[in-house]
Amino acid sequence: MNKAEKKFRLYAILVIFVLLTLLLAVINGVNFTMAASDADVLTQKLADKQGSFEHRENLPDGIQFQPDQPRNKDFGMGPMGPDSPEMNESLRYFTVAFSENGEKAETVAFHISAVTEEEAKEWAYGLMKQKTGWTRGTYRYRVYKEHGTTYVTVIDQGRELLPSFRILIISAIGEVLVLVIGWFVLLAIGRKIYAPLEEADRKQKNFIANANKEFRVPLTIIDGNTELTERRYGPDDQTRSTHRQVAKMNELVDKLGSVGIFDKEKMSAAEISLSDQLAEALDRAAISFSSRGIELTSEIAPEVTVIADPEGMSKLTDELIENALKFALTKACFKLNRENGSVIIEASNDTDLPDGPADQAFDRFTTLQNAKEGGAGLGLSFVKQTVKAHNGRASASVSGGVFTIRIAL
Amino acid sequence: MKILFAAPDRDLLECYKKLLETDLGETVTAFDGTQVITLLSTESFDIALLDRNLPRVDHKTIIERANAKNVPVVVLTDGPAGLRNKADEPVPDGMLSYPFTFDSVKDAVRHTLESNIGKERKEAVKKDE
Repeated sequence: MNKAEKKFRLYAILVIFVLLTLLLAVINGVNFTMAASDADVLTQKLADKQGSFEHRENLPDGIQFQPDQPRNKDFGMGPMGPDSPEMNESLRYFTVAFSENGEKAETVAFHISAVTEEEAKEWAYGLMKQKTGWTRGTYRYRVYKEHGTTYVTVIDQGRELLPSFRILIISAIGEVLVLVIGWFVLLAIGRKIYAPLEEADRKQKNFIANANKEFRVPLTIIDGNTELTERRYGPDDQTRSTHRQVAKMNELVDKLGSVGIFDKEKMSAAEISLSDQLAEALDRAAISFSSRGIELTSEIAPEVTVIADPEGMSKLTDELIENALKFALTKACFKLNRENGSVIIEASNDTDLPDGPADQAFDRFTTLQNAKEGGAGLGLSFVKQTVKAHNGRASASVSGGVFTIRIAL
Repeated sequence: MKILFAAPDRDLLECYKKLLETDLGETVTAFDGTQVITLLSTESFDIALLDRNLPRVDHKTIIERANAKNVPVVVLTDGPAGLRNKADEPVPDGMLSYPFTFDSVKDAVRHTLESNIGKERKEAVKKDE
């Protein structure tokens, strides 16, 4: 199993996990919200009856007990949940009424076994300043006032919440099972899913490598025949132009070759002084920068070394310089230093591109900036490939008119 | 100077035969490995420019035959990657990667012959000692 296939499998399982978690979170969230809503309907019903479903004689002045509506004869198909006529009989609850100053507490109704009346009063006293909510996990309460009396009604919803908790636990177990099964299914069929993608990538690389090989000999022949023509008839503008175009094609062919060849398996490793390599490469390119009117600056920390493929790193620095040479408007800057144990290479140049990430610059055959002279869009693709092969990171962005490539190795 | 130039492309052979004969000397061309082996055994050459992918005979055998005849060899390879010599192959005297210019061929021939003369001199001095 190669790295890309592992990555594909991990992403696939991550997507399943996120989607499943989202689905189950919504189902359970709605379930618990509805349970709270049902409980609120019941506490409101109790509030409407001054805290008790029982008929009472000693109601405060001006308040009359509201009897239940006649029950639905068709009880088999009757309302369920908080609207069920059986609820009045089966609900576990208590209501405590407090005098205006809160000193005198009286139990209005007490249909619960979990606590004593004294404990219920103490519990209700603690809730007096709230409005409504959950208390002690599965108890729903409502606090309301009438004629100066504060009522605290607490109902037990443990029995009603039990199915919701069961669904939550089953959902969690189900999700883990689906992920485990999904992982094994991906192990079994992942190769089949990934193989066509791998094949497409391999074909693309082979095509580039083959095209590259097929170009090399004809270019040599074209240049050789042009040389022969010059010897017979003397050089002229046409033969010189042919030589120049062949030289450009030769350069392109070399780059195409590097796209295909930079495989991790073919890398060698040696300690390289990046400080020296970059400084020397910039020295070599200084004349080219100045002849194009580009101001070149650099900040290279001394003795920055990496263990890397010498040929790959040498081409990487060359490509970064060449990219700046092609695309800089007036300024180019190269920085090399160490940050948190990583080697950081930054190549920047002024640009007319808008601000934002510019990682597409690393795509094959892509040029974002306007090149002063030909750009096949392969140089930065090679840079990305080389950095990736060395387990590094490469990013590109534009900020304040400056295009910056940042490499961490 | 007598040069052996071998490559599996007739246009390349024709073109470079003319160029090499104009600037360097008599040039004999070969299209495949069998021809190269025959030519090496029947004629003498000052230098051989050999494509790495000649048909019919493997590259290693051809280089060994050329070495046996003391003919310095410049290998013509597909690209920069081909410039890395494989571990089990005899090391040629020079390498050149397609696409090349005639000037780079002349430089390679000159450099290879010079270093070969230097090598022969060193060997002669060693023998004398």
